[in-house]
Order: sequence, then C-alpha cells, then structure tokens
Amino acid sequence: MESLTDEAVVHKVQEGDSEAFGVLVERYEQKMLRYARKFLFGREDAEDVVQEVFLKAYANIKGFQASRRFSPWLYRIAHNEFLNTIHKRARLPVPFFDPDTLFPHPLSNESADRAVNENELRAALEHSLDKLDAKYREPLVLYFFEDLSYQEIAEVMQIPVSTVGVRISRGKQQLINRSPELRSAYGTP
Amino acid sequence: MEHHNSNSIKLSQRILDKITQGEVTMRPRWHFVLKSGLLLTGIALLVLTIIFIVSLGFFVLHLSGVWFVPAFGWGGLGTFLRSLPWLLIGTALVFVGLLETLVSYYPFAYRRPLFFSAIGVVALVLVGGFFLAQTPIHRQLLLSAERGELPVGGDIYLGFGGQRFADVHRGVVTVVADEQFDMQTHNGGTIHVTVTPQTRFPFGLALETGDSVVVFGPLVQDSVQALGIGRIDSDGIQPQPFPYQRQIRFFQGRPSGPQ
Repeated sequence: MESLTDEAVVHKVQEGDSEAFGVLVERYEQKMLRYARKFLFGREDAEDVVQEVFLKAYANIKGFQASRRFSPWLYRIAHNEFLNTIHKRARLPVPFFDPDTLFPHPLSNESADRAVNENELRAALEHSLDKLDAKYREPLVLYFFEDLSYQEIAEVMQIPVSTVGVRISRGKQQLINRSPELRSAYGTP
Repeated sequence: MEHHNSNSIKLSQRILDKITQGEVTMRPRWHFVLKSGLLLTGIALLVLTIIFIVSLGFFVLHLSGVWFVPAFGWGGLGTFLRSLPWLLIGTALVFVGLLETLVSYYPFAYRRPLFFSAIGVVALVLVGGFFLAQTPIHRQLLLSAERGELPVGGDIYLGFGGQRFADVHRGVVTVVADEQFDMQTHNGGTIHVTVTPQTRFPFGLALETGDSVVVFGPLVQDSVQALGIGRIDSDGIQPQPFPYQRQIRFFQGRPSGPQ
C-alpha cells in the first residue's frame, strides 16, 4: 500500500476499501495540520478542523475524478473548510469578490530571488503571518510551507494562475516592507 | 478502544473509527452525477433566459423605432441611450452575474480572469439575443398578448410593446404632400410630419403611401417637425432603402428638396 500513488489509494477507497483511507490520512495529516495552524493562526481546534477536512474528503471521495491529482483536491476541501471556520466565528472578513481576479496580470518571475532569500522570507513569514492581509496569507503559506506550485495553488483557491502570482508578489512586498532584514536582503530602501 | 481522551488517539485512527462506526459514509456516485447534471441544467436555462431577455430588448427597440434613431445624428444617439430598456438590461445583468457564479465552478472559467469569461458570456447572449429577435417569435407573442391569448407574460409584452417615446414615432404613411406627410401609428392615431431643411434622411427620402417609417422629432399635439426620417420594413427589423427608380422620380419632381 505504501508504494501506491495517492490516486491509486483513492481508487481502492472508492472500490470500498475504507481502511486504505487511513493511508491517505497518514500521508497528509502533518501537511494539513501545518496548513490549518498557519491559516487559522495556531488555533487549538486546528486538529478538529483537519479531522472535519478528512471526513468531508471521505464522504465526497466518489466525486474525485481519477484524471486529476489528489493533493490539490484535498487542499481545496481544506481551503473551503478553513474559510467556513473563519466565517462562522467571524474572526476575519471573507471577501465576496476580489478585483484581482477580474483582469489578466503578467506572471512575475519568482526563480531569481527565491533561491537566495527563501529562508529569510520563510522565517519572516512564520513570524508575521497575522500581519498580512488575509488574501495574501493563504497563497504564501501554500507556496512557501506546502511547496505547491502556482498552478496547484490556483486549483486550490480556484483563481487564475496570474492572480496567484500577483498575490504572492504583493504578500512578499508586505513582508519586506515590515522587516528591516528582508529590506536589506532584497536591496530595497 | 477508549475514547475518553480523543486527543491522545492518532488522528487517522479517530477518522477510521468514525468511518467504521458509520458516523460518516461515502456519498454515492449518482449524487455527484446528479449535482453536475443540475448545474449544467441551471447554466443552460440561465443562458436561454438571458438570450430571451436580450432578444426582447432588441425587439422592443425595433418595435418603438428607437433602434434606428442613432442614424439621425448626436441627438438621435442621445435619445437612443435615454430610451434603452434599462429594466430588461438590469434584469439581464443580474442573470449574467448568476451565470458567472455557476460557470465559475468549471476550471475553464476560474483558470482565466473573470474579464474573459464575462466578455464571452456577454458576447454569447448579445449575438444569441440579436438573432432570436430577427425571428417572428416576439411579434407572435405580442399579437397573442394583444388578443388576450397569452396566459403567462402577456403583461410584459403589453407593457413593453405599448411603450412609446417622446421623440421617436413609428407608423405607416397615409398621405404624402409637399414637405409633409401623415402617418398612422400602431394605436390608430395620426401624426402630421413636416420636413424641414434640417431633416436628416440617412436611408434616403422618396416616400409613398403604405411605407413604414420611423420619425425622429418632438411631438407637439399631433404634429412632428422631423429631425430625421427613415423608411423601415413593416416588421421594424431593418432600414429599407428606397427603390432606385422611386428616388429618381422623387428628385426629378423636387430639384431643390432637402437632402
């Protein structure tokens, strides 16, 4: 079972092997908990919310199409569940419409500065998540902590890839503006 | 298995326990097929509804003659904008917003900026609505409504079909004289139209009795000093150029006439 791909394990679950779902939970448990703690600001009930994510994934697993990848599908369920949690407790506003998704944007080039400054940025992000605008926080978390690509983040958040690029770029800029170390690392005054 | 301290039990075990105890079950495949079928049906119904509303808008513009007035210059364009069926346009926009929401569940829509899918939706309904307006469907529905034979939506047709605008008049020419003519409107009234040197004839001018015309100009009592006159087909769908021989006869008879 351990050597099977996520999608092959999902197929087993869809065929009625419920125990196989435990393999998927073990593979994604830590990722989901980390994602939840960053998204929900280290709330104590993050584990309960993640449990709810997995239970929803199980309930809807027959709707998963074999042609798609399991990871973005699970992250999409988590994204919705976390938003619902925030919305229910009214801790943060959930925007109904984002003008960033309206018009096309050119994709920013991430590769040049990513290798050099990623560690500093990741450390700054770890300490400043709560200071970032909500709409920039999630793509930054998915990109820097969950190692999802722009395309995968776009699938999770159901927004255009170019919008992911814009949000990551603006989120990084917010971080840089708040951190003297990052400002010098990125060479901005 | 002890459940008193659930935090001490592994998350995967807790989830498997809930599954084996039947607290959560898989939704059957037909649930997802039905859901996507309903979504597709909703999208199809919305598209058809919007196309119908847009085509009704085009039909109303043709019926009132407003469709033709931009050809009479800036004044005509102003009247055109003021006379647009804003209620229908607003309703169509609300439905377009709803359609965008439904379509955004599909990757082809959410992978691109909203601007592109909105342009696509608006183009689709404008083209669809324009072509549907060319068919006799709305005219027949209006006739049915006027005869009281339309059980649903009759009031809408009577309301929009009966709309008349202050500066736009449609009718059939009954009498032609020098520099003026009479026309009979849809509701049976008669309007006297006076032609002046400032009157525009974007589609030519060689009127004969029986021609369908749209006249642009303010109505004072039952007379209009025309700012623009156009001959249109009897359905009010498009401008009708005057037959060449009729134009020759007209200008031979009126060498100093306005043009």
